[in-house]
Amino acid sequence: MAHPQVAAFARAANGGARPTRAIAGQNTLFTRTIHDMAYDPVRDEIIVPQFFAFAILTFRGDANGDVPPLRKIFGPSTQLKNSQALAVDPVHGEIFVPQGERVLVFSRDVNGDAAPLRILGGPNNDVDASRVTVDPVHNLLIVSGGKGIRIYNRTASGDAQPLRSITGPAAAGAVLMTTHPPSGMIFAAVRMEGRFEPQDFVGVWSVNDNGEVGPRWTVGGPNFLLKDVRGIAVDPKNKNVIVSDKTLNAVLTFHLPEAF
Amino acid sequence: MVPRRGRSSNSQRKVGLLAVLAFLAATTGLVLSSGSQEGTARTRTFGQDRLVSWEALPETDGEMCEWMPASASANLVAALQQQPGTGAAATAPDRPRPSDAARAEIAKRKPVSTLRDPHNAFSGLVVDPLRNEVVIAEENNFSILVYDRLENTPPVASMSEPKRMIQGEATFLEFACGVYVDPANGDIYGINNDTLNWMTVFDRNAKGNVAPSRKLATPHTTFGIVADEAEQELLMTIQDDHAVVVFKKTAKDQDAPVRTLQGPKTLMADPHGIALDTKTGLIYVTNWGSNNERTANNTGKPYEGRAARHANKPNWPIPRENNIPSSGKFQPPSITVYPKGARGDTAPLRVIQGPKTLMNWPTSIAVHPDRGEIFVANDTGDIVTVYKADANGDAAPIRTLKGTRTMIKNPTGIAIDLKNNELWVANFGSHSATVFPVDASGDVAPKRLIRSGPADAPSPMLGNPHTIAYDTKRDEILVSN
Repeated sequence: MAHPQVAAFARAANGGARPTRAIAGQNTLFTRTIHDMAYDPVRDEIIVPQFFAFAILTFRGDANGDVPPLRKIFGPSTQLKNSQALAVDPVHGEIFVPQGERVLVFSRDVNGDAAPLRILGGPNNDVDASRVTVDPVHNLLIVSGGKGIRIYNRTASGDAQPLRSITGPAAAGAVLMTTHPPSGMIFAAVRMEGRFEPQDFVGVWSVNDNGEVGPRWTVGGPNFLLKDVRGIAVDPKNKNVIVSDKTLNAVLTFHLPEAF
Repeated sequence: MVPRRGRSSNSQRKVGLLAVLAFLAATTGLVLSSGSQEGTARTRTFGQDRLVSWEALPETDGEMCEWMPASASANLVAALQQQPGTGAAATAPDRPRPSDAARAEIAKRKPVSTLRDPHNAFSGLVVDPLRNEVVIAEENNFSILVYDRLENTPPVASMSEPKRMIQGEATFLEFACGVYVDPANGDIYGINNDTLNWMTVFDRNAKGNVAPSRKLATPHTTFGIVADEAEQELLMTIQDDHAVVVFKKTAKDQDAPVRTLQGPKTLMADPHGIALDTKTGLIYVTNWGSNNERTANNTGKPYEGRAARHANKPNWPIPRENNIPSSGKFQPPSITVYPKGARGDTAPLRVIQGPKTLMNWPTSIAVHPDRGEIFVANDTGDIVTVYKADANGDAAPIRTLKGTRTMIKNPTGIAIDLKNNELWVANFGSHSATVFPVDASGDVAPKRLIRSGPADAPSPMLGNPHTIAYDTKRDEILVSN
């Protein structure tokens, strides 16, 4: 796309709404492929991966315009490569970066070059981590990839194996995820086949689920609205599920009190 | 509670406690009664539970309590307090699975709001002076639009209708940001910056949901395109590979490039725009500034997916799979200059780079060979900068176009009409294309303007909104492209 940015919109924004603010420009150090992002409500910070320079950028929560990051995790010790996804654990102050066969874990306080605090996976334990999310209440690290949704102890490292694995066609299509820790629910953007067919949906699982288990609820489909689902977030206060769709080039908000 | 290691000031603890309370408020439906948060007892509601009162932590300089998991409900916080500090994984309270009927109802539930720009968003453009048309790449609705070159949207009109619109699943257009028109026959070439890795070629009269007359598999993340008509070649920038790939102009399907310019000596870093000076035989590439290093050979692991599909093609750029961990770099934006036949890891002849250049996300570039000038659209600078074609180093622009009268807003495309001596700018941030005399300077109004939406229509600038987050402090949705 021509213009990377992190734009903020009012919760109930509809149609072609004007952003309340947008972070973009040379000083931001952004590039394309912002395939994940996290908001840290404890620190009031926005965390964004930088795909080309292999960095993790942290901005003030109210950042606006062409502003530099407050901090960046960046340098030869980081082991970062093609960093396009991340999750923040706001309670324990850690940033998780999936790297395919591994998940790197950093302190969110890092500014500059630092080695990961710990690493889950490796050559002998390919964790197949495409995207990750964290449930700090139940102390869980949740990983998605072609193998489905795998649930690890939050502090898992090295050759640790998942506590539980959610499999089946829906879980195998799970990409970006988020959690609502109080209810123990996992919300995943599930991509199925096709570009313009409305086959995609948001799948909702419990952190207790294990084995070949379908989602408890699906939102926006299948066979309804979502065509190429991308991002997922929840607004717990209003019990809303928010999802972005590439083909629709849109952000849709669904009310789903049942899942909260 | 578990004592926390280390010491912290009282003020820090208060700030931390307030932050946790704010997080609890956002995630559990905390209802605060009015009044100050300090001192007096008051009532708060956590979901179904009522907290009757609270008081500040005692003033101590010693160990402080572990922060509660801020997103936990009151019950879960209590549960975690019973297993302090173990870091052990826990299970959530079991909830019954919903009935099939309830699931079906929810699956068809309509959204309460949909954030989507209803107007076309211009990302790149090219002028066809022989046919008096301007061809515009458009991202919001995955289209290519053709307007009369002299179209000028009246101030009172909401928009101008294009003469032709190529759009739909059959077109293989998604997030198109670069276009080229063949002067000989008017064929329209379009490249997709994201999600589809095809260059598409359409007959000049194509419209609607039509298949391209041919299409060519390209590396992922093509951004700029220019043709060398003398050599019958197409040159494209590849953001992901920090490269310029060159194909025969007639290439199609799975044809391989004829050469590729890529490597650390090239100094390319997130290349975007590309322009050819037909008089000097030089190509100009604009770079946003971040890049990385990659090994020339396979890393030992078999390629998968996209990289595997093209692994055996000659001259295909070295893919991201070969990137060296921790090798990323941040550099200032630049324009790098090469002979048009450059290949391999070739250093630029010149580099225009530095604070005097005023570059800020230099996204598109055009050359006026007769004037010996290069024109750069700087997305987030809301500025067009013009340099002498032989500029080098930290060169200031010889003139700029910027200001409210210019209506230049997030310019991501630029083109020169050599026949009519006009400068065209695609404004991604205002649903518009603006036309200026080629020597325009300063804060001047455009000669003409094509709008795809009302002048005052907001422009959310969504483009593959890939990820979102919820800002609990401001009740805002964060969306990244």
